[in-house]
Amino acid sequence: VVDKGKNAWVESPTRQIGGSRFRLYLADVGDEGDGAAAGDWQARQCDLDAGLRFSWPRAKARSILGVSMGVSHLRVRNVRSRTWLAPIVSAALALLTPAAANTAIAAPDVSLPPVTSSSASPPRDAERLPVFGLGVDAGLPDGVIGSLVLRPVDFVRLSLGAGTNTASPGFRAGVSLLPLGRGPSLTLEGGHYMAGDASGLVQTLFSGLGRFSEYVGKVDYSFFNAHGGIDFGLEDFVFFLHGGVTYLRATLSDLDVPLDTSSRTGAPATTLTFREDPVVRMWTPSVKLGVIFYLQ
Amino acid sequence: MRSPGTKFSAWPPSSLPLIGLLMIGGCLTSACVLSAEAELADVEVASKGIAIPAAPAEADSDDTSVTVQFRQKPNRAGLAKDSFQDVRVLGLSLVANSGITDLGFLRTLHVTATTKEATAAGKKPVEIVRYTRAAAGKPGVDAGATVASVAPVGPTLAIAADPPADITELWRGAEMEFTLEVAGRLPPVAWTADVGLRIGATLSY
Repeated sequence: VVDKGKNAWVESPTRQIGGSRFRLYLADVGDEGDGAAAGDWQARQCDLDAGLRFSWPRAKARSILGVSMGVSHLRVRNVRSRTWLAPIVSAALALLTPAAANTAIAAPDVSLPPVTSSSASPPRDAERLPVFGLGVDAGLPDGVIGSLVLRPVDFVRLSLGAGTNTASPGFRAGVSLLPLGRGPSLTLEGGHYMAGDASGLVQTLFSGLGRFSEYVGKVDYSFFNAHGGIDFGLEDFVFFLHGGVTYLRATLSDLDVPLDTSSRTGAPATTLTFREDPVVRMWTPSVKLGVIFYLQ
Repeated sequence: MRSPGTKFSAWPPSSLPLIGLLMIGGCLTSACVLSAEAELADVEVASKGIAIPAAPAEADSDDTSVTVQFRQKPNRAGLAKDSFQDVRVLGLSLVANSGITDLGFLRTLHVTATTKEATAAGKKPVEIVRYTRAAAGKPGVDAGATVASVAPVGPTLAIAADPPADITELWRGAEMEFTLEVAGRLPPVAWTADVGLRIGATLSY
């Protein structure tokens, strides 16, 4: 155990594998973030530092590859060569997180200043991220949706919203999983838009139908998103970029197909009457950008 | 306790181009479709004013038959012909347009379709419907006929095709050629009818 100012620090000896040197560490950086540790890391000469960093209470996210795992942080730095080692070591540390965390908290260290001890075990509620929020996002086929957001646990986000696709109102519900609390996310959503004029943004959805899309008067559609994405920020403000695939089922109505009189061989003109509304089903790439403001 | 000169950011600078690429890629691909299919469950393609000649003078009151051929350019409503994966005739309607008001004189109706391309390839015309009027106003079916039911006779004769005739190949052609063979106590005057083809189609693009 090494006292780095306010930080309790456990690290393994530097090991060499092949041509690379690496070291594992475990740190409690208190509530001051990882400033001291970062400065120290910069002086290290390892090719790979991999570690587990704790902060009680949660420190503001300041890490360079700042993915967070609950209240612990997993970090890979100074990767100068053999970068393939990084994910391997990181994965091993991730598996060891619970045991390592217990060890770190329980480890007595008389050299630690009192402030570290007092900040090492705050009430659990103080660590909770804000639960309720308001979000807005825009994309296709989602349109512009305003949502109520609920974060029951740090790695789950529920949303229920309503919005417009520029032609008609619609609604959408979804669930997002953020295994690391922020950063990579997986989102599943379903929504529906009422029948509205098939113009502008909506018409682009059916541009693959060629000139036929011009004859469509109204469109209503349901959609289901499976999105991967990146979520920036953590507490009060989250910005996200999501993309993936969408299954869309649309009903086209009020079709007005002009009389076809283009035959050059004297064939009589034909009329087209849709006795049932055409249905379009498609898998399409989709993307959306959005922000969430957490209220409490 | 932050070391002087140490900077922290949520994401390493090296990831910014990746994020940018994600955004651009997402925007570009939003205009693409991985797969799409459309279902036109029931569409009527009608040819208006098909002229049918009067019964031959020598026919007197006996049953006679006349054969009429007409062409119809498939009205694909702006859809690419190659996008049609399956086109089947669900039924046919014959509507008295002028000269007569009742189609009750029809005893049989036989409709086939082909295209120049199919004829050149030696393919037989596709039988669309075969109708035989039953006694006592009930629909009738000839042996080997494809017709399952008919509506009551009046100015409109609606005939369902069972099983639906597959005209996918014909539909992709430039022009379909129909042969309409009507038999019965035909009227002594020429008349016209609207021939409506009810089709169901699936498309992919």
